Amino acid sequence: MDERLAQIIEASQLHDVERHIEGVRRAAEMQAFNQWGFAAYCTLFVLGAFLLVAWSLWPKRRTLTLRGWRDEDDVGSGTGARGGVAGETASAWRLKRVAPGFVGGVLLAILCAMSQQLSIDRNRGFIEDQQRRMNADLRRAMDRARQEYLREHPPTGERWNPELEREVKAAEDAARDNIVQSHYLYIPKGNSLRYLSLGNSSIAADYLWITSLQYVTSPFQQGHKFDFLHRFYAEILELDPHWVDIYVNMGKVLSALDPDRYRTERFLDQCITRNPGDFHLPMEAGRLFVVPTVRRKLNQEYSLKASEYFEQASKRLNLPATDLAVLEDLIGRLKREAGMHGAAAEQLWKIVNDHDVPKNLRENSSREWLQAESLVRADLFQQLVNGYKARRGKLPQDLTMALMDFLGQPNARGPAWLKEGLSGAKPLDAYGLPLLYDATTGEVASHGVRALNSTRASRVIDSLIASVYSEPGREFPRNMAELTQHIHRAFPTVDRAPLPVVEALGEDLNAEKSPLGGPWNYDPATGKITLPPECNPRELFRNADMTLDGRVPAYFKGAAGGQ
Amino acid sequence: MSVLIIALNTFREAVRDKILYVLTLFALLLILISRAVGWVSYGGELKITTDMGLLAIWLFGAFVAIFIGTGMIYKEIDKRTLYTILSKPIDRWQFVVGKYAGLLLTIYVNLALLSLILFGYLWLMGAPIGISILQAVALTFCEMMVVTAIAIFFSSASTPVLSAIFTTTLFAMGQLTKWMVDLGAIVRSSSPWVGKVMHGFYLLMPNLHNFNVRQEAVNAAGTAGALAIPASQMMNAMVYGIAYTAALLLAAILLFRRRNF
Repeated sequence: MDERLAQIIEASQLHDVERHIEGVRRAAEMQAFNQWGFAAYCTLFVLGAFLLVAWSLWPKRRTLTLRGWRDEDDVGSGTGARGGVAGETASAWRLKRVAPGFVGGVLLAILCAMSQQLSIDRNRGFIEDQQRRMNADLRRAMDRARQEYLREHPPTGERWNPELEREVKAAEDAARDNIVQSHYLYIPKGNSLRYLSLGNSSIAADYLWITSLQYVTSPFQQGHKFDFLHRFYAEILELDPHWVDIYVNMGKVLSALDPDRYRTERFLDQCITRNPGDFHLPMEAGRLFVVPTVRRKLNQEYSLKASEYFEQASKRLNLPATDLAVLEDLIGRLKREAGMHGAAAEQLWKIVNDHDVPKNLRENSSREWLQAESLVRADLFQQLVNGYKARRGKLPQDLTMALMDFLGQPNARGPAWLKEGLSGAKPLDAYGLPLLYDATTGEVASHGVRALNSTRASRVIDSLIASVYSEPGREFPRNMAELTQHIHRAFPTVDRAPLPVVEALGEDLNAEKSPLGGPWNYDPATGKITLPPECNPRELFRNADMTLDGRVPAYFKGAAGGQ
Repeated sequence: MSVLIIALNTFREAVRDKILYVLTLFALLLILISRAVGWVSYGGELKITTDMGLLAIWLFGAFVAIFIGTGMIYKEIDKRTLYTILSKPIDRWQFVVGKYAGLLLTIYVNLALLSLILFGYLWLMGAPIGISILQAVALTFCEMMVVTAIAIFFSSASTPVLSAIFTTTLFAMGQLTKWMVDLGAIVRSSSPWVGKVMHGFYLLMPNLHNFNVRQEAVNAAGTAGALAIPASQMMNAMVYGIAYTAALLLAAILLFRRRNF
């Protein structure tokens, strides 16, 4: 091997070697102690047991009585009150004396055996043995993987660098996975258990479930559990396909242990297929994807999946009626997050107009509906702008121009509200605010949605400012640029930032620009942001309250899911 | 009338057998320990408790039938008490049927007791006791009817040890006869006659899995009014049990009549 390469490999192994030597030294010390301790321990017990048994079985003994020393046999010669049953008394007396000795000896011997068993288990027990063999295989495989990787990708520098170390570690992990898989104890196949249990596959499933719990909690290879968990769970599914409660718990366990959400989803899909009438499993599958991530695109995909699963759950017959409205509201929100604004608006509008639903839920749904409907309108006008640009090669000056151009087309089709009463007036979103249009970029957005986002973002920024202020000796940030620098120092990458911060500031974590488009109205003296009047929640949700009272604004007519 | 007398006498004799109490104690322990097994589980505790309870009832019935039933007739022959009985105006078939009825009565009384204890235990634990659980217990009773008949059949023809071996083997095979059908389907493509022979064996063997609805019962227990299997299928299984029992008893009587003591 190349000498330079060998030196680098040796350097990478050095820290492992030092740790290994220390471990070997300690093990040697314990082993020496164990050997001598074992010998002394064993000797004491054997000696004690031998003495007890010997005392018990000693053939003749002299007993001191009032008439002097007597041999044991003299008791049976008929003297004294016991004369009539002398023979029985003697043997009974001997039995009474012998029995404790025997019992004591037996106990000592058993204690000795049990204590030695514990010692054996520490050095040669099943788990210890298995762990030792696997560690040896792991070390060999990982060393081999490290050498092969470095041979194929020789490092360019002289020094061992962290990037290379990460790549080598990835190669080692891949080798490690194969070894771990081959070393776990035998997991019986579903059919074999079915036969072994004489057709009681329900009990066999119970056994496998408890075994899988032991597998998760055992110290053997802790932290790398999910590979075999999937095998366990697949076998349980084969044995007892209708044990829904446990499959819900399995989903929870897998979601906690397995970083691959999609693999857990595939398992839950199999459970759902076997139990098409139950709502618990699609609910659990939906919950897998409800928790958002910091990646907006991934969030959209997750929200879509979650909404699909929750929709499945909502159609199951055994879903309690009280949960249906809550679930439908959640589906509406998820569809909005997934970008399905029209479907979300329709879903939420149904809840708003369902007077059997509790009022607080209708209130929440109406506010969500405003957001969804506003996005529907913004999307529609975006299409009109794009259509205008496609036909005329330039962007319209305003949205009315795009609308007129669209309405002038021979086969123009659109919602009723598009054609009624909007000529001469600015198109409004569901909040009653004019849609925002940037004539230079052609982007259409809902003013109301941006105002709502500004309200939420301002709360996050206030808490960030408070965190800056809480540091000793620090004043309020002088401006938003300084706050942005502080945020970038605290969270160098977007992965490290909390989700509310990413949602408020965007993936670039820029606090300088507000969602409404301009800079924040920030006062460095007080450290507070002042929001424009349209961000006032009472004004913002006025239309939501009107719809609840049955007073629908005129421009809602023909809205998605509206009248 | 003679059958009834022999049955009652057999019942009295069987309840004095120590092994019955050992087995009953074992079954009770299994039912009570089932809760402890549920404690180590994350979820599904009540299902595990119900599973183990039903298993205890099933196993207990089978063990009683095997351990007591296989030596029943042979004991009479060995102790020469059979001559006293047969010297009376009693037909041999009455003796066999009486013995069977007595043993079955013993098993049923004990199973009923265990079932009541199980239901009480489940009720205390808060586990659902639906009609499906009753179905499972009823079909277990049917299964014991067949297993007892198997034990009496072998007992009338052989020594207790051999009878126990044959009965246990047939009991185990009866749970796994579906495997024969699967195996037959696999080999049919290469050897059709083997597949047919296996299917023939499957039809001749006592298919005790017909009475095993414990899994369906436990899964359906949570839904009020849900049956483990439809009533028509349950009727089929019971009629199958009665028919097979009758066949075994007739065969036992035939063997017993030809024996010289």
